[in-house]
Order: sequence, then structure tokens, then C-alpha cells
Amino acid sequence: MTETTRRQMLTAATLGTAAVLGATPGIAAEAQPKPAKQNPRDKYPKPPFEPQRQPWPGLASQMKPRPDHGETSYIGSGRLRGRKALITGGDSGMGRAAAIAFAREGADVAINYLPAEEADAREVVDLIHRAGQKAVPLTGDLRSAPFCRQLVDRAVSALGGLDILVCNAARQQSIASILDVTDEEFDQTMKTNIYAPFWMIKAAVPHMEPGSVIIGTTSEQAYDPSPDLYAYAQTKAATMNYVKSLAKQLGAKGIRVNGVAPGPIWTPLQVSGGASQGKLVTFGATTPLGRPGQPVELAGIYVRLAEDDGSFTTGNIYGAGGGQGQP
Amino acid sequence: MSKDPALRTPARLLALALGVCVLSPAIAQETGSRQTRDFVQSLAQSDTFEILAAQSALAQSSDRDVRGFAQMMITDHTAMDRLLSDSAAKAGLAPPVKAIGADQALLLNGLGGLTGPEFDKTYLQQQALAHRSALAEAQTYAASGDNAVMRSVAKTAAQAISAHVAMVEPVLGKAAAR
Repeated sequence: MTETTRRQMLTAATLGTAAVLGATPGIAAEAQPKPAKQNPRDKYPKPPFEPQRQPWPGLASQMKPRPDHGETSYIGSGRLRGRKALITGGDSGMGRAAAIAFAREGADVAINYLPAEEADAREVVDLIHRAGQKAVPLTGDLRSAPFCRQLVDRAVSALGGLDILVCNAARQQSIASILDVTDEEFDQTMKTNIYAPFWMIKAAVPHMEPGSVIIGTTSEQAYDPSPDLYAYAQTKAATMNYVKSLAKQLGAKGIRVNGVAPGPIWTPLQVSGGASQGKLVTFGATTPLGRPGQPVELAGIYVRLAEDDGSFTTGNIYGAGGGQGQP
Repeated sequence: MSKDPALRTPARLLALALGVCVLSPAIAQETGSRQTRDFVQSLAQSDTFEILAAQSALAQSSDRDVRGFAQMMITDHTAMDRLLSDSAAKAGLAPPVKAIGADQALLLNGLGGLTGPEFDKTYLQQQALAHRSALAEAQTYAASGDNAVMRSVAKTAAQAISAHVAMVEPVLGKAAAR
């Protein structure tokens, strides 16, 4: 890790450890005192950010500053002990924050990612191992129905079952005019964001016992779309909607279905075409907190929706919007 | 901007400031590459935003530094906008649409209710961010744009905008210290 955010250095200093990746408080760290109350405005990096551009899908490890997925800060307390989870897009961003948190809460975790994301995925596998849990890396592109079905089967057999499915992977490209959205681009967005969850949930439900959960990553874009995110925003509206219909349908089986709606979050999606250069430099500036969110700020939401204590929550969308008013 | 009399009336300015007239980039004519059209529109939006925000500053601030900076923004961005429109015509591109982007509308809305030092601080913070954002767009196009006429506009814009960044940061420091 070449980039160390101020927050990470502070955390590392607080914990009395030098190496950032090396210091991973797991379940055993429960007894540590909670850090002092912090002003949410000052907790993480603020714009302006350095202009930067990576080819799709982008790597968290190459971002400046590096996103915080909870590597040094998330402390578990056994809330998901013995669970088996599959997370798409688990190599970076919110999927990675969920993977780290799930493992530190005692779950075994399979992650899916694209071959180009191998470097990020290797870090996540290492973090899951350090939490004392089983990690199952499953690489491949979700735009194919046979692959999605195979992905679920491989996760089920490697983990010995499936209790938590997080459909999180997404394609996002900022394109100012609909006249510039190619059929290929539109298709790639729809396949990744809408078809893949359909194929995966369909394959997963027969393996899920009562008490299992499905979590979809939606967005504030579902409710208040940006003009340049025409294709992406409508897939997030679809996600918000399938969460509600499937919750009604799967309630009978005792399977809960919920969504997580982030505001602007500092992830590789944004530096690999999801935001224009100009927007990236001021990313998060328009939120009332004056900064973008970090993936770790959503980790607790994924855990909450997955754990048994949240047993009456289904068909709901939980947000981390920075004050922009959604969901 | 000054060529369009409709934009000069206070009511129209207010409508723009309230985000009533937020448009996404022009889609009427598709001349030039997507990269070039996006750059032209982004620079036009940035000029329009700078002029509107400066109008707010002249109406709402009594600080001499802030008013001086705002006056300069009106002069410089009006000139930049004219250069952009003329160059777009010269390059055979569709004329840029005089409108602000969705994020800029949020910033302008945020200025609306503020007065005194609170206004000054917020205006200057926004200016620092908005100019860095515009600078990133202009430098990117200047380095890799595919239209020579617009590359030269981007170079001119990048120079003016970096001068504005260098100017606003010390004023912001002064305002934040108050």
C-alpha cells in the first residue's frame, strides 16, 4: 500500500500498529475501546481530489487517496458467526467493505470479481483469512447466464451452503448524451446490473433456508438520477424495485430481501468512467457533509441487513446518502 | 453570455440560480466527437456557473476582496465564454447551450440563503472547488483533445482558470480565519 490516508494513519497510530494492511483487528479485538466521537465532515478525505483516470473496471489500490473499506477500522463481534456469504463485486468498493465486515463478524465469504480486478481481490482474500474465515475467490464476468448459475453452484459447494447473497457488482459510465450511449454500453449495463441479479437469485433461492437473506446494492440514483447516468440510474431503480417485489414473494420462504442505497461513495467505479474528470475533482462536494462517503461507512448496513437481529426488516432500503435526501 | 439578452434580466438569472433551467448538454446537433462536445458543454456550463455565482456575490457580499474577485470572474468568464462560442462556430460545432449542470445548481442553491461572512466563506470554498474541477477538464482536453481549435481554447482557459485558483485560495484563507 503506497497511499495511506490521514484517517488510516490516525487509526494505525491509535491502535499502536505500524503496518496498515498487517493490522487487522478481528473478532478478538471486541474489547478495544471505541474511538472518540468524530465530526462526520472531517472523518474522511474531502474534495478537491487529484484528477485521475483508470481503464474500466479500475482498482481501489491505484486510487488517490485509497478508499477506506474498513481494513484497519472494522471490528466484528460475532454477529454473523457460521454464516456463508457470496458477494459480487467483492474485490473493491462497498462489496469489499461488506466482505471484510462479514468475515470479521464470523462469516465465510465467497467473492466474485472480474479477472482485471485480481490484484484487489487478492487483498480481500488475505483480509478474510486474517479474520480467521474461509475465503473463496470466484473470478468471472456476470454478463452470462451460465456463468451466474455456475457461480452460485461453486459458492454453495465451496462454502457448504449459502445464507447471504449480496448482488453488488455494477457497471456505471458517465455519458452526457443519450445519443452517445451505444447499444453495447446499454447492454453491458443492463446485463451486469439487472440480468445478473436475476440469474443469481434464481439459482440461489433453492439453496437458501429460512433465515437467509438477499441484499441488493441500489443507489440514490434510483430516486434522483443524474443526467449523465441515464443507463446506470434506471438499473438502480430496477434494483430498488426488485427488492420490494421479491421481499413480498420470498417472505413465505422466510428469506428476507433488502437494498442498500449509497450516495456518492469513493470507489473505483468513479475513476474508471463513472464520473467525468471535473466531477471527480469535486466528488461529494455537493453533499451537506461536504465530502464523498467511504465504503466502510456502509459496512455496518450490510451487516445489519444480513444478521438475525434485523429479522423484521425486509423489502426495505437502507441508505448512506450524506444528506442529499435519498432514499 | 452577454450576447444573449434573455439571460441578462434578473428574473431569468433568478430562475437559473434556482436551478429551474438545468439542462444536460446539447443533443440537437451531433457535430464533433463526443469528447469535444462534452468539453465544449462543460466549459460553457462552468462559465455560466461562474457568472451566476459572481452575480450572487455582488448582490449578497459587502466584502471588498470577495466583490473584487466576483467582478473579475464576470469579466474573465464572459470573455472566455465569447471565445468558446466563437471558436465552436469556427470549428463547425453546435453552439454551446448556456446552462448550468445539476451539481452546479445545488451549489448555487446553497448560496441563496446566506449573508455576510457565511456567504463569503461558502462562495469562496465553492469557487476553489469549481475552478479546480474546470481546470481538470480544460487540462485534460488541452493534452488529449481531438480538435485543434478547441485544444487552443482549452489551453487559454486552463491558464485563466489556474490564475483564478491561485487568486481564490489566499482570499479563502483570509475569510476562513475571520
